[in-house]
Amino acid sequence: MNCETFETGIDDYLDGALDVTAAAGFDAHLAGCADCRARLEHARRCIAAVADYGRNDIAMPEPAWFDVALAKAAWQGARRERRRRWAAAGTVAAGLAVWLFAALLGGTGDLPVADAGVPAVAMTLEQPRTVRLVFNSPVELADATLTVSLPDGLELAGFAGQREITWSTSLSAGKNVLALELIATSPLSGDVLATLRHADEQKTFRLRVDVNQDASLPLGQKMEIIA
Amino acid sequence: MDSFEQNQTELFDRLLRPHMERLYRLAFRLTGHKADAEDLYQDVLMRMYARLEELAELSDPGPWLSRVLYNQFVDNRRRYARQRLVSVGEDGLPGGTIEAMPDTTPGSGDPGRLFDINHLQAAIARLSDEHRLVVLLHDAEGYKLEEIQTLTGDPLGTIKSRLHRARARLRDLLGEDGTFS
Repeated sequence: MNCETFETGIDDYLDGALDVTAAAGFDAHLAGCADCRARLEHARRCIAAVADYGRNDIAMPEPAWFDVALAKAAWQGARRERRRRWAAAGTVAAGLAVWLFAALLGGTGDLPVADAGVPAVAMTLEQPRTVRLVFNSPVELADATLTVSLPDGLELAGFAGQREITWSTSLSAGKNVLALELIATSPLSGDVLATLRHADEQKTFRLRVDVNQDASLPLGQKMEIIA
Repeated sequence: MDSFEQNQTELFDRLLRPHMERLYRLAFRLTGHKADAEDLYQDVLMRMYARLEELAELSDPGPWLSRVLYNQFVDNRRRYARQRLVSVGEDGLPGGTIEAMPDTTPGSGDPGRLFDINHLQAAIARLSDEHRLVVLLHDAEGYKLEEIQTLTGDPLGTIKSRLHRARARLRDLLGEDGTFS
């Protein structure tokens, strides 16, 4: 063995990755080579220095930080799971609403007026609530479009993250009901706008939504205060 | 929170807690920064909740958790590739070389240390990302080569080669008298 071969295999030698015969060859070379003994010692010191560095270079967070991180992840994960389940249910609800209007095809006519029986609705954070909008139309309306606009922090089940959803629909003469399953994701006080368009006319209906902030303060906010 | 969610949360805590410090250290090794490590760590924990059933079936979740964290890191790096800072050589540093920068670290001149901590840090920083990760995981964190293979998915021979090259580079950079070459 020469010094070049020794240097090539120095890490395997240090890591004990050589077989007995090869290791014996390295030992024999070391016994007669001062340069390679120094080389080996330097390599050992380097590895030990990295290990020493590794023990000291990371400032680990306090144990409480880990507690908060776990609790926050669990809270957010559970919330996401709830929303996923509601979204699945909401898709069905939205489908029914579309079906309701699609089944009431008719001719054209004047735009309806809103039934102002529910001008405002109170909600609790993270708890879905179905709101029924009633459109009272004097005549049948075909080929209308209905656009629902939501304020930040309010979502329509089945349409997570969308601030505006548009349906093609038709209305019958008389009362037409649109069921909206809403979920408040943050405390808010804002308006849901439902805009009905037909031909060149449009009319916007407004529904006030107030979310009860005290019912369920997000755990994340509580934890940040503690931290 | 209903009883189902309460049970899930308790299970989540029980399964994750034994691995938290090791996962955090891995996040730090991958990102190199406290704030990035904390973001990556929190992101992965939240994703773990959705995979709770999968996690509960594992006899030793440690390697799997590490792999998930590593994959998330790789995904994030790809996504934000254009926003990454470009590392510069010493020539690009304001004020000259790394050694020319004033040393303000308390105790950095401790003669009992194997090498001056700043010199070692500078030497490690000179390694490529791949070499730095392998040498820190193996020699600083005590990962076995096979564990790094599980983590990164790279062939064992490649990982071993990276480790040896990284060590050789450090030996070159760190003079035998403890100075930074």
